[in-house]
Amino acid sequence: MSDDLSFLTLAEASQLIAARKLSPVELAEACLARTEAVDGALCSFITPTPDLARQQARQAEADIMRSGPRSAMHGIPYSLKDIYETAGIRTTGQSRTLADNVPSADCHMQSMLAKAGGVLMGKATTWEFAHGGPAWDVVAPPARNPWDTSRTPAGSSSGSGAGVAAGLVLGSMGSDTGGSIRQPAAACGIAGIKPTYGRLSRRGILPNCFTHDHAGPLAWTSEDLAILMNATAGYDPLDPGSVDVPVPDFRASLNGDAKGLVIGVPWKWIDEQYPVSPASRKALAEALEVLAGLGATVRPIDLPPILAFNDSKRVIAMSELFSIHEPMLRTRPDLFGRSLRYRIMCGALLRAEDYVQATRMRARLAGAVQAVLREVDVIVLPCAEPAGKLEATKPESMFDDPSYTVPFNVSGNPALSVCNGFTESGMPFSMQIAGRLFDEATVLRVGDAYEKATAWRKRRPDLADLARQSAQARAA
Amino acid sequence: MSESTAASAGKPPATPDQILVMLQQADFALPEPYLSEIINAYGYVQRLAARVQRGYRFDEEPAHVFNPLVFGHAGAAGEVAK
Repeated sequence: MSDDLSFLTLAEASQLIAARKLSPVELAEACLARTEAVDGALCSFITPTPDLARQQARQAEADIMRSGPRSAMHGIPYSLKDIYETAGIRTTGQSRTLADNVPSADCHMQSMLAKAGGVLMGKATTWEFAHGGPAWDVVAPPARNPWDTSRTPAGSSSGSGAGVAAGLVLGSMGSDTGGSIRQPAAACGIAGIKPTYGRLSRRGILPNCFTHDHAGPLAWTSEDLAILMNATAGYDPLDPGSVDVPVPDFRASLNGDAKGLVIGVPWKWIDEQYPVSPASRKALAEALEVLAGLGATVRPIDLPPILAFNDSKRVIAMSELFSIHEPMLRTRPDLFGRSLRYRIMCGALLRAEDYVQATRMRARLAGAVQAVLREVDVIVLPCAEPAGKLEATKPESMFDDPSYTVPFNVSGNPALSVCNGFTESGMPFSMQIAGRLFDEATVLRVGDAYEKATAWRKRRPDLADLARQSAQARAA
Repeated sequence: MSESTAASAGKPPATPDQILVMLQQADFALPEPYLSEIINAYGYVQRLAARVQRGYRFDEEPAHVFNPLVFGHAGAAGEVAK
């Protein structure tokens, strides 16, 4: 029974709770039982909060019985990436520099989710300060991929991705500075959206790179993401990056088709500048056929070279990261994991001119993306290759390799990753859908229509195998 | 001490001695093994920075522009040293 409950989608659970056919207490207990059974193999939680979850679930149940749910998130179990500050709950950023950090106040996102009636299950594992790669010399070991625990769940919202895919939570809040929501969503076969820069407040979230940081949700489906967006989107005057624009009902746009939409595909990126594997290309081509069948028109587009986006972002990020961590890097470099330290120490040697020119480069790149999105409604492209082995990142890939996710951090546009199939060995493929500024609704509409037209959302990781691995890990 | 591992675009990689001078200028004193790490990493960063596009028109503004309206609450967060 518990397996059935925690593999409900967020939307399904919400509907059952509203109909009083499912108790938030029962749902939370199912998720807690599954966490107990399998998270020894996944390490998706760095700080679980079972007592708080039970208390909030009981409160939600009482409130709903009295006056009905106050939002679609009421009684829904979720987690927060461990860079989201939480009052009275340890928030480490996975860094030994903050190993004992217990904030006195909640970040704005947690305040909104609590107001919506969500049930906080705990803090999800990340990479150090949401920027270092997988590391074994930080506060806790890295999360593992529930489809194959020898593989990475990607990052840096690693525990969020792994936890949602395994059904330990029905949604999770992550952050995305260069792909850290979309890449774990891709690796773990779930959905994740980086909203437009300024759509969700960053207040109270440990910074990675101020000018590229985005908060955003991960969940099993695009519809689930729309529910999380409804609970978290909105102007926050205390976040200097927040933008005061109308917030739509994101769920209302999900009409199951793509009629009238024009989809642009940057084939030069995919075939020439940063070629994907033949299997990923085939999966993308098949997904585009599905979208065409749903009423969309598909055509090629030209964007600036993909590496230019990454170069601009990395120079800006390294400069900002070094500025944030400078005092500790100068006095206690030993407290940082090597992966993060290696990536950011050279920020000391970048010049102010490099930083400013990179931001001017960003302005040109962002302008080019907006120009293309005046001609097409969305851009569709791969998100990432299927997950590889869980291992330390190679130095050259930290500085020289492009990625398909970074361009939309540079431009600020909303971008969604959805699952578009599986490899022969059972690892998920991923497809990215990017849209116009503040038009998350159309992006989610396309993702939702695709998910409902295909069977990929019916497939789940093998929990029995995860439970066996977890028991072995505990015994060891 | 490890060697720098990457050349920049069109220029030879900085030598460890040159990197030590830059670190001194940045007032960044690092003991081993961190000194070797930064010398190793700088080769990649030098190449990365060399790829950043230059040659903008005078009026091309950077991607983030100061908006005084949004910092009305900043005083509550921290004070400027006097």
